[in-house]
Amino acid sequence: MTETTQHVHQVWIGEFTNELQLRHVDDQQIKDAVLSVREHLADSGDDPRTAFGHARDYAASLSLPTRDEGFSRAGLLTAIILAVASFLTFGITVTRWVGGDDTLAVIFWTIVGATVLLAASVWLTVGIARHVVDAAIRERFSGTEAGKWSRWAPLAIAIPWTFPIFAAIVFTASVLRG
Amino acid sequence: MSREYAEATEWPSDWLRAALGLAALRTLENGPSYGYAIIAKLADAGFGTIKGGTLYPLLSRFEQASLISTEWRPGKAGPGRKYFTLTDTGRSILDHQRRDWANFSHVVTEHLTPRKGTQS
Repeated sequence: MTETTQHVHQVWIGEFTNELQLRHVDDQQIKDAVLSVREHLADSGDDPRTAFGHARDYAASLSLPTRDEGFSRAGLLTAIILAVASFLTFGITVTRWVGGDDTLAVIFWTIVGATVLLAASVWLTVGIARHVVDAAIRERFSGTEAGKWSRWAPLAIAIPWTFPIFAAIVFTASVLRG
Repeated sequence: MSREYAEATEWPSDWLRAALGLAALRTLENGPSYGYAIIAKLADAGFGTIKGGTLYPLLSRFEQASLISTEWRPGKAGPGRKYFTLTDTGRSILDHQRRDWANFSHVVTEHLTPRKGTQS
């Protein structure tokens, strides 16, 4: 293999690797796909562009499974459970606190409820935002449609703040009533 | 069908697309094989020269559907070879679709054969 041929192979394989990384293909799968390309080029003596076409198109055509960045399903479920539990805790304790029950336990659980509620909302927002940003980057550089992440991005990012907004309404209503 | 015939005839790409999956599974029926050897077998069978960019995505989909399994074996030089083996599921699909394809090709051939005294 001449130096020029080797360079052409390296450039194409570099582009192919980047495309697979942009699609969040698992590292082991990328290694496997690159080795298959090298094997075929060594066997056939073909130019990579002739054998496989454009690196982007070939990466797309393999339809390799992708790993999820941002939130896993378990992470999403945990954050939602925490948000709901802390919302209920805050709602109950803040109503009692405003109603005159200023025991240490009530104050403690009100603060804990509010803190966990805000943390869960931030956690959900960051996780969803990462999905949106990843999908946008993929769409920009690899041509993969961002699909639902593009259409529903503003709504998806706003949803986690429903809980703190309701908590604030509950707090305001309690103060006004008290 | 001979290789010489295929070299003289360039099959329409949509015909190839329809038949290539089954043909690739057939090349694995007698034992494991690797990418370039599969391409050579398909060329010998008369399919013409199949490009890597056409064959490997097909094999990737078959692997994800568990029709074939893969194994890397060390080569004398270079990166080694990825061998593809037909699984039991793949073998059963091949048997089933081979019968269907024979029926289908018979239907197409019958339909295309001109007959005296008929308009269509």
